Amino acid sequence: MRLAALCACLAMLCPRIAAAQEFRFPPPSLRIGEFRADLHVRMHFDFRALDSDPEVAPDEFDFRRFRVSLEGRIYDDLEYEVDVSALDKANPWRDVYLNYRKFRAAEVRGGKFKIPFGLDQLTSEFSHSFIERSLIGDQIAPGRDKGVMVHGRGGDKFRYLAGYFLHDGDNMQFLEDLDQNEFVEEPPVDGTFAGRVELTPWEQSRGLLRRLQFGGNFTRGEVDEGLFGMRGRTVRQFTFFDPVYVSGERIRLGVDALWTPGPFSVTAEYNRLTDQRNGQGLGDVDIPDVIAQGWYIAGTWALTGERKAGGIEPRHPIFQGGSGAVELAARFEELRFSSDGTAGEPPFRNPRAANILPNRDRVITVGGNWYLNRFGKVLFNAVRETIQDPVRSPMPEKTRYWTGVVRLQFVM
Amino acid sequence: MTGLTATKTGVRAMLLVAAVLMPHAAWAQSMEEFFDDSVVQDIHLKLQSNDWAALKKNYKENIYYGAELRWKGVTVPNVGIRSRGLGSRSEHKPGLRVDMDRFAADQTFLGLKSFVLDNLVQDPSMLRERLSMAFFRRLGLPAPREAHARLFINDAFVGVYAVVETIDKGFVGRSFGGDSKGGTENDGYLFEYDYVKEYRFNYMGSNLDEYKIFNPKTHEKDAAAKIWGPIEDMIQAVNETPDAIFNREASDYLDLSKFAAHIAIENFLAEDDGVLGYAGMNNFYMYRFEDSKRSQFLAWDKDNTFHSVDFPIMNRIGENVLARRTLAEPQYKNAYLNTLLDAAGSAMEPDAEAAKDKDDKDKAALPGWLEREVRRQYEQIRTLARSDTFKPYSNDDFEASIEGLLTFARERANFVKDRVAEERRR
Repeated sequence: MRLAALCACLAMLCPRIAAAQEFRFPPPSLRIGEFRADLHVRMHFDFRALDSDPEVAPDEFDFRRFRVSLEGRIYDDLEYEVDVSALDKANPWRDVYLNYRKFRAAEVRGGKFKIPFGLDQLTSEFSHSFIERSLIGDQIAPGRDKGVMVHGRGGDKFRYLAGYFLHDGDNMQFLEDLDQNEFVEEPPVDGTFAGRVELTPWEQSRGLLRRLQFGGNFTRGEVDEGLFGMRGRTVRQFTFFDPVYVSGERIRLGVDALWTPGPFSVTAEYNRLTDQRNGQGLGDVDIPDVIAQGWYIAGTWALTGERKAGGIEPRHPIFQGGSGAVELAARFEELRFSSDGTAGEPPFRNPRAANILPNRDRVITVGGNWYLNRFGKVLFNAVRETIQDPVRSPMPEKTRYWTGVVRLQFVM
Repeated sequence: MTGLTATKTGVRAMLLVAAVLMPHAAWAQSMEEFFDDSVVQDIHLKLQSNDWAALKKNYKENIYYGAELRWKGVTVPNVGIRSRGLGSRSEHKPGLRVDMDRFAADQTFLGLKSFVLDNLVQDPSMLRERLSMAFFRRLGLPAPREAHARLFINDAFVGVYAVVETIDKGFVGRSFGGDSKGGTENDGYLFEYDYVKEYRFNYMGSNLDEYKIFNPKTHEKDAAAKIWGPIEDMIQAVNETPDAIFNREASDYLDLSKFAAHIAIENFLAEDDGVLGYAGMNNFYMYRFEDSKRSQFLAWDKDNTFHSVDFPIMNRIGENVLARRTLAEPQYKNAYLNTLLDAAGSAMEPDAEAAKDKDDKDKAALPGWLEREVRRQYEQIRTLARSDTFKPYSNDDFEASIEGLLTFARERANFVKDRVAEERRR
């Protein structure tokens, strides 16, 4: 039905294409006066293998992503984007928004888009140097939601984004937990305030620090009572920390840094999410907050010398006499869950335990990226995960294991 | 002087021994005290208030909820509780399994890893389960200890329950004592029989998946061939061994005398949903001994006993392959009938004090053990049971059911004796 609607829109545009002032390919792009529409198609094909019992996680080939998006301007000050996931039947609409940009110091965006939190989460999956996002970028950062946001720049050194969103993003997987909770039938966070600031203090300099950016992030919301604490998932989406009962304020804090000197990049990020647990203890007592926190540090090096800032584009693409660009990448990260204090009790795995038995996933990812040309890219990642608590490891009594992933990316 | 020194040394040694033994003695006494059926136990569970409502709403699911267990000043934090049962699952009065180590490895309560709070909703008398298990133990077969209890959730009374000892490694160790290596006999394979279909010990072929109705409670991660292979072998032997060598072959897998005793007690108690149940086998555990092919049946969930005074003593023997072939052997048929007579004698045994100095005729007029036990348990729970508004039957149903038990207790033994005599004359 939705695809049919999209096709109908395209059909309506077709007569105008003939009268278009300009039509480009690729990507297909339509420009009529101030109106502009760029069509993008993006795909990910993954093959992954885990060094484990195949009953736990069989090797698999996965047509992971197939996105079709239309973006451009309705007129000079009004931008739009419609991004559809053709593989996600339940939730096909990714970004659907309008952005009014009359005033660069205070642009206004409304619709569905990413809540401004976290460098990793705000980087497109198709621009990423790794096959999977970092654990904190994928899980602590809230992801997309419907809302309204003001954002703008203060000169070259400062950028801000601040908004109000209807719920708490789509990364928390609340729906998965609804059948275990009898008291909430929709996403349990009504309204989240979010803000991010970015600083590039040496933007005007000519030195190595010119490409150094710092970011700070914040969200605040109220979570309904229920089993709605954050679920800790491994890289391959096994649960290593089950949600706990929460009620009250949810706060996210994060800081990040990005440095892209020449063919190198270094990124680092720390995120922390705290959920209050008012009245969630046995006998309805308040118990210490549950904390999810994590960090990563990552580095890349384009061996073929391309500049990293803004994304690598091969100097010598294949099919044009070259062999593409090659990049090495490595990341070290951790995601950890615990309670904010012991309440004088021993630790338990109980979702109502005052003192939660902590668990942690520590991950090392090493890999290489082969940029074929501006459309194609092949990524290789080897991932070693170490789970702290063997009882909650995805592989019984095995706390350390490897995953290998190969991805073919096509972007147009 | 020497004598005084010797005395001091002896006292010190005694104190030392007492000090070493004291924690163990206190532990053992407390577990005994928990299952002490001379009193009604008070058990408190503290939950988050929404969780009790959620557990009742999700009573068909095995979802665990955290709770704090309190009993006579002993508090166990963060135990896991869940709804349990098959036909006895109830939204209004959920049966509960209480697991100490659900959220913390190795947590125990008086040495117990878990226990069951039976909601007694399938038995208007509320006594059948406890009476039956006591009767099994009285006749020398291992069976869970039980006591009645008042259950409080967040200090509110939620009904009369039976505290039931879980059949687990601990139970097996307490029941079977030492093994051949001088340790405790508890590291064999323990199975709970999961009722999924009408099954009467027929051989189901070599596909081990068919035998997963025997649900392993120990060594769960072992290879399927180690878990269910011996069960398949046992059932094949029971089904396919020629009559001439049945005793020898089947005895490799089962103590047939004990099996005969088990079904004899079930039939004496007019159990309609046990090993010889109306819809196939049900309500038992099976333990395969360490380093052995030999297994033993264990009684479980006996709330369908005391069906009727005239419940046939050979009820469904012919329908179950194991029972039919076992009792086709004269020695086991004799053992079966003897156990029935032992059961009758035990049920009718008068109180020793009351029987003192009485002749046989007067002794026979005295109430037997079973009748006295029904009355004792009835007096113990009568007021509580009547005040239990969560039970799915009326107080009149309760009283009528007690009357039925008393009738059974008075008349069953003589019925069984007569039928045993008839059976022997055949």
